[in-house]
Amino acid sequence: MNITKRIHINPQSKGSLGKSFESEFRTAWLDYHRISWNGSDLDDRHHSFADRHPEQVQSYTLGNDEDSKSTLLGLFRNVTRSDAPVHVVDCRAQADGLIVQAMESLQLLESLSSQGIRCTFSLFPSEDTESMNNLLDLFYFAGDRVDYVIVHNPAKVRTNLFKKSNIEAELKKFGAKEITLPTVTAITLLAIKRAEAKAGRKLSFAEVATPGTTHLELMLAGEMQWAMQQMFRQYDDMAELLLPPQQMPEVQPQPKPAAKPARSKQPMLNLGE
Amino acid sequence: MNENHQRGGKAYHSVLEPHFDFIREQRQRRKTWQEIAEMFRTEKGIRVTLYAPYHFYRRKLKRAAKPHWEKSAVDSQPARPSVPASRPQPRPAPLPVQPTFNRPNLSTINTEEFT
Repeated sequence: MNITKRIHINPQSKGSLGKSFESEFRTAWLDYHRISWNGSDLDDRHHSFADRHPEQVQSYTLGNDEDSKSTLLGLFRNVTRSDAPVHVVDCRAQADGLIVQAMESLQLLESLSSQGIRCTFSLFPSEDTESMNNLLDLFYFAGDRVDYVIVHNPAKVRTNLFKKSNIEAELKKFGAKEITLPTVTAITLLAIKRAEAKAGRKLSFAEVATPGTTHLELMLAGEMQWAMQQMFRQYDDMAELLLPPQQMPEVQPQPKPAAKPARSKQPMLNLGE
Repeated sequence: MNENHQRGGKAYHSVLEPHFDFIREQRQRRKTWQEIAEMFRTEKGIRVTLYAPYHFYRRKLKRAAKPHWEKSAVDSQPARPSVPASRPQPRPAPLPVQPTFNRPNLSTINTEEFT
């Protein structure tokens, strides 16, 4: 299959997994590489994704079963017509059933594939039984028809149920790659919310981290820059799962951190004497 | 030229025509042709020779084995010629083939770990 377009989607049902948080890093990475993208926000209650990127992201209301099918059909038809090589879908909580149902009944994965469009599912391992079953259901539903990015969020998940259950090993057989979200301090996250309230709109991570802007104190903006660098390196390593081949960025090899210089032995006092 | 001879008209039907099933039933009960002829006389009020049921039954079975030209003309000829059944239809099938793809092997996944 000649992939000309990618759709990123995080269809997992549970909220507070870090889905929107991760999407922000990903879109900042796309902007960093000057890769044209547009998106859809399926969270009709918060629509924070659409608010952060009003020019690129369209907000949708999923509604009930029938409405959601029409909505998703419209969304994916728009994607096929769009020139952007990447489309980012940010899902609301509890939308997985509607999305899977629509994908199945409209045979979206096959239809998109025939047009050179391939989906990438972001999956978030968690400590919640229902959420893990949901992750497994999504994996079983899509199989090798999509690519997978496993997003670890150490700020939310501290146990390794995922590894123990062998899902990780099975996902890797399907070419999945892993990334780990950086842990950003509550101080900085709170400061971003304050800055958004002050600006009267949602701010993208790129906006708050850009030097010279007054949204955040320098130290807090520095933390966001550090977090973005962490994520960008990881995205670069798995770019083939996120971009069509012709959009692959030329990544400069990152210099390996210099090994700590060996301490020269210095004469020390023998306190035992 | 015989003016009275007419073609067409009603086809000949044996008087035994409505009783084909009756004859078959009696034959299955191992009745002889003579017994059947006698039963026609006593039960149905039809007087026939002992050969009549035999000839009628045999004729009917033979006809049933090969199609009648009138019937076969109606049954076998379609209103318009169609492609042979074995040849694929030029139009696409209305139902698409079910997509085949690889799914994860659930037997290797230990969901007990979730709980």
